[in-house]
Amino acid sequence: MNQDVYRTLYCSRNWIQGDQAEQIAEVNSILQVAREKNGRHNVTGALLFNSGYFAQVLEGPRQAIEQIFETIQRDQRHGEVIVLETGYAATRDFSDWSMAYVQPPLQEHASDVGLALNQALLKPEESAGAVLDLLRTLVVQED
Amino acid sequence: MEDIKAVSAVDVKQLPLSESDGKRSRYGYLVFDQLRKVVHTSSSLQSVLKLPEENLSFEGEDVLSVVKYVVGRDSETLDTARQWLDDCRTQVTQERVSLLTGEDARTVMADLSPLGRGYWIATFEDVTAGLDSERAKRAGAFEDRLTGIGNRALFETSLDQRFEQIAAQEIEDGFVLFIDLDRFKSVNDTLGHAVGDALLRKVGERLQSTLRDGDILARLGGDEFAVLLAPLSNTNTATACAAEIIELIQRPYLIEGYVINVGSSIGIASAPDDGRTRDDLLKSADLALYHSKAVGRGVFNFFHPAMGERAQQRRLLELELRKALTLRQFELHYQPQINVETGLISGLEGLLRWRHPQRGLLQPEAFLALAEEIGLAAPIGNWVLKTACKEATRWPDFVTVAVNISALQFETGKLQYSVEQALKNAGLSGPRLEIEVTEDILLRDETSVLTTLEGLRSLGVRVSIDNFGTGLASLSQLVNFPFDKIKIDRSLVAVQQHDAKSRAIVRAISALGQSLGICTLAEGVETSEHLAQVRSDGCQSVQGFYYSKAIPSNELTELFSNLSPLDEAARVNPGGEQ
Repeated sequence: MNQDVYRTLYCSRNWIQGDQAEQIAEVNSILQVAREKNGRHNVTGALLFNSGYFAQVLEGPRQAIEQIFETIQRDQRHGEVIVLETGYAATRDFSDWSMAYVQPPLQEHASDVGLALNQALLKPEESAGAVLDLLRTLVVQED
Repeated sequence: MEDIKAVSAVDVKQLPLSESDGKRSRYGYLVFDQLRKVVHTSSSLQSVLKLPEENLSFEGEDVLSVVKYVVGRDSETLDTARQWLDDCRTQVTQERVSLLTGEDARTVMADLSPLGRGYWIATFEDVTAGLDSERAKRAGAFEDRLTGIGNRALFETSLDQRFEQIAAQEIEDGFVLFIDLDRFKSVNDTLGHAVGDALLRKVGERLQSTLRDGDILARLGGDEFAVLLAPLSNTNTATACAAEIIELIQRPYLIEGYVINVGSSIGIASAPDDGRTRDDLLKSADLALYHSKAVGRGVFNFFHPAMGERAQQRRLLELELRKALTLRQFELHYQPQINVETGLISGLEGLLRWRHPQRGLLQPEAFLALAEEIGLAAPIGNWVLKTACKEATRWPDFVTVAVNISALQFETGKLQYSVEQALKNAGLSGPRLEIEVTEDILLRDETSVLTTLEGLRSLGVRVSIDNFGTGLASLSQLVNFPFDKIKIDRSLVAVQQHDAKSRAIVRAISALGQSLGICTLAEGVETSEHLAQVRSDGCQSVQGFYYSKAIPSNELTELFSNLSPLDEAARVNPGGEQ
């Protein structure tokens, strides 16, 4: 395995209050901070948000990932955090994005996303691959 | 002039701190006369006082102008300096004065000493660096080095202060949260102290992130943290705070490539209701924390006076327990083990009872955990061994006696010796004693467990595994250990009537026992249906209320005379207490 790329994938429940517009505004501010910080630490990744859940993948140097993850943990805008996968990875999947963002999914993907995230919360140890694939697919489509 | 130079030259040498202390000396001095005119300056004076280059010598000037350079425009300090010089002329004081420098806020201490004949020497010392480290030390006294948050001293000082404010009726409340990590020890044990320390730092940061203005956070030691809530808190704020902490702490941690999950338990006490002094309040918080731990961890509890009473009862029980051995309040009751083929008693299991003077006959569940905690497990265990061996000598030769050995006794390393002594003192032959161990010893260091088991068997003693099938040990482990008997747990027997899975397990254990030459015994046989089931599932012996409850040793004679072939009439206490 490549010892340079460390990857952590987690999902969590959204605790942001307010209607969808307010939630999206809050997520945008989260993204802005994340992108700035990730850029400085050579961290890339993607964030999926579907009003009920977050799923996020972070990739980069291990220490930076662990530090950024800890900051994310202290955020009260989400909770019930489950780590789906963490460890060294062969390559970066999102090397072009300091933090790619998958908006609340369009109708055609809504059920896929809901299903994958529900499954992830139920069987975290078996769901990393599916959630990661979903992120890869949706990020490419949005691009 | 000759005169003056002679004076200064001589006396300067007498100064303990001369220029030979080096260029970077913190000291500098000047000599002045009774008109306050400077007659001599040391070369180090310029660097100590940071005097301007062009004024290397103040000779001939008023000493006050030197001081002015030092203190800048701060009139208060200048007044101090003027006063100091006036005092020197009237010779009332030789005290040091502290001068604060103007621009760079250094602290310079000034000393005056008379040189005689109207001359004075003023020495200046820059103490800024020393003060900084003093200040840092004072701050460090309140800081936990590992986590960077407050320490116990900070917490106690803050709490003392709060009690003063409560006494002065400035503030009404003082909520204290005691937070203790669950499962921290296993993190330290399995992943090492470096990871454990990193975890404590992250916990400290997470706790810090939950604080509101005025909350005081500290690590009291180990994995124990405490928060003193800001004034104007109430049970609602304390509840919200505790719930937030528990949720935040139990989120996963990523450290050194590991995903770590720990939880926390919290006890809450509030001043002045739960404690009128610091120590009383902390004790209450600690009791509430203890309660949270006891009811299952990951929860918080407010202190309640009943918790104090429970702790009081526990202390009382502890005192009584410590005396119970000497007062001969322990006794052994025996429950028969029956061979299902012959219907004869094959052995008796000795079960510990405590005849408590007020509370009556107590089962081990009521006191054994406490006994282990206060270090009485070994002496009580030895008493059981000795007593069982002694009493068994009065029984028929074919009846064995079984004794339970705790994992703690197993670990002492003295088990073989204790068993040997008990057998020797009683005059009982080894094969008549059966040692019952529980599954959890199989989870310990295999080599030392094997050594002990083999040591026991070298005495001829039989070893059985108790409560088997409850999930800790696997069938395959039976192959590695030299057991003589497997005691199948009651939970697999009592429910098995409609439970195909339990029956399959019982059958599998019996079959494995048979092929390994290990005897199987079903525990908790309470009905004739149970008996029929376990018999058809292949168990060789049984134990349970269907035959007999545990009975005192003086009733055993009757049991021996009555119990013969397996039939209704042979049962002791049929359908007895369940």
